[in-house]
Amino acid sequence: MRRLSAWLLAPACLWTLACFLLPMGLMLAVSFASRGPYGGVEWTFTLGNYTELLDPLYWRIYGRSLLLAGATTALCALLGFPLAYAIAASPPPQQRLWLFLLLIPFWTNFLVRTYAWMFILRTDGILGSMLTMLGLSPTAFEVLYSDTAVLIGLVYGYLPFMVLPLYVALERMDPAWLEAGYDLYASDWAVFRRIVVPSARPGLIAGSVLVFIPSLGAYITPDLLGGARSMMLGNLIQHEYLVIRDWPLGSAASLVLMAGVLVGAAILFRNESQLSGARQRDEAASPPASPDVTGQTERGAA
Amino acid sequence: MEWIVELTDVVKRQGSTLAVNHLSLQIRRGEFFSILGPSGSGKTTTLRLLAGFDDPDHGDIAIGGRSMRQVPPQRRPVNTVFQQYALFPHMTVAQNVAFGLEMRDEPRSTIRRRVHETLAMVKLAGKDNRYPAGLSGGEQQRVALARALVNQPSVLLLDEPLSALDQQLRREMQMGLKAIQEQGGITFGCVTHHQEDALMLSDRLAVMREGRALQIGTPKEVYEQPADAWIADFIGLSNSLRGCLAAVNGMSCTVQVPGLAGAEPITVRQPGRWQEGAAVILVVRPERLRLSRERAVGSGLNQVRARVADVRYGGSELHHRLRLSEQIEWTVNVMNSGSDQKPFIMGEELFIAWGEQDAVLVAG
Repeated sequence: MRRLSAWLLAPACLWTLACFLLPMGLMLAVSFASRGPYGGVEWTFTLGNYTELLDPLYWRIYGRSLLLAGATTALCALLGFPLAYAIAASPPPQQRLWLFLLLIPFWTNFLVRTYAWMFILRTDGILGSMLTMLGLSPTAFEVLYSDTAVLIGLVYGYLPFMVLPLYVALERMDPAWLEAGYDLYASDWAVFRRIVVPSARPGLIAGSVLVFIPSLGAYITPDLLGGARSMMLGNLIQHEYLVIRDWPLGSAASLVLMAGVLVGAAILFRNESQLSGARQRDEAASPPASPDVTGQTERGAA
Repeated sequence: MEWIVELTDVVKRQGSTLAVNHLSLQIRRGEFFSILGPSGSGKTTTLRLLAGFDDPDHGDIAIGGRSMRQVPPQRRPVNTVFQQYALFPHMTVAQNVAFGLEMRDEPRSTIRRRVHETLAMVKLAGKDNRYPAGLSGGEQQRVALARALVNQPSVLLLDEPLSALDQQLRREMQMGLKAIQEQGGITFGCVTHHQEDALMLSDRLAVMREGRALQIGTPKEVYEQPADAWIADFIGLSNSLRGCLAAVNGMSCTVQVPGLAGAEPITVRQPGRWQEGAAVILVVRPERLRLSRERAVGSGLNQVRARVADVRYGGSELHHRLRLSEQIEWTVNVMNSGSDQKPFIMGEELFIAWGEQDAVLVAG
């Protein structure tokens, strides 16, 4: 049995080794090398790539990336929560339909969908001309090639990643908990804050991670929808690799991004596992379905 | 005022059926009142109407003399112990119990004291910081009880309170609930399909079927004087004979049962309201029957002949299936007291005897 499972694991292990660990190791090595005069990699050890990343020139890019990824996560949570709640609260056959509709956009290439957003957000695009027709846009409609456009694109792209885990968490919520809340004098707001949100917490955390991390390293969206000044970390890395051909600096930036994400996720999951750990410890501590001590004294008295 | 809960002609539709069908009943201040019925009888719907989770389509519900129309659950003087407890899984025991008091903005010191007292009352002292998932079924049940009781509601609603507990815990909780009721101040409204719970706990109970209350009375009245054959059958075991009223003589009725071997007329002592010739069903509880090999002597005894179809060993009792005729079969449980009488065996002929005050007549 054990021999068999080792064989079954082998392909995945090989795949990970070849396609993930090897390039990662290569990147790590390159990040300590220096750029050759014509863009090659020269194997002389240096920490210069990492110190260069501390240059204030790049801080704007880090700041914008964090801000946009944070705003994307917040907006996805804000938009996704009511949506996930509505789906979870609808009857099961409808639930399947809504989830299906939510996933339909994935049938089309993300690049193509981002181009579609360019058409929508262009000054004389669909949204702009509609607003002008309605007389709502007295000045020229200028959204494309701005941080706003990037934010719209990111929220659009990553919303399903927020909605799905939220839906899973909310779907497991027992409607009786809400009734118990109302029965115990809670207002709608108190029921939402004290019962619904905590129930959705694992979904909210999973969704936030799934939205924040790819947003932080997003490349296509800021490249197509953002302006020249809307560079994000993903574009920086792409720029270093392909335009300036400074592979060592690009590698260093990639690794820093990855390390940052890893540290953030570790903190988040550690807090979460402490909380659920406490609940599970209780679970392990209680003898299953055995008459408890207080019960026995009661029987003794009788 | 005597009544704390009054339902007047309450109707609740569910789809095309009437889940609650012109129901009127009153609950006395301080009593333990149960609604007993099979699933689908409308008892849970009635509880939800009382708690305010649903609104009646017709009729009125008053609690403490105040109409509950347009009053949401938050503002009703009732608290509910839910069937599956509905404890908040992300809160500790103490946080669960404190929830209602917090929502009413009680001062922190009061909350701490009351939570502490209530947990002690339900024998959960020291479990304040545990999470519900780590508690046994009986403990979860007591947290649910504490969470409702801590608010000192005028009426405590219980939805199948003991259904998830095993027999031993069930007995303990029955005693616990009675003890809390006897401390006074709280009226209990309980919904259950479990007849033993209803009989043991209730001061009065309503038997509900298809949205109507068929009979309301003390457990003794409902068990010993069932209003109809369905109730007699639903509550406890019962044996019945279908017959026709041959004679009515003051308190004494004579019933003729066709198809019974040795068809002697059977007498039943029961206050009148019966007419001669009426079709009736005679109901006797198994524990009122005595079995013997010889014809018993004594006045006021009814006796029928039967053949033992089956004997089952049930520990404290021996269960006999007895055939009175081709169609009529009775169940008689005899205490396994290990006494003088030699056990009956399959195929044996015997006499079943009962006193004329031991049976009841219901309309046939």
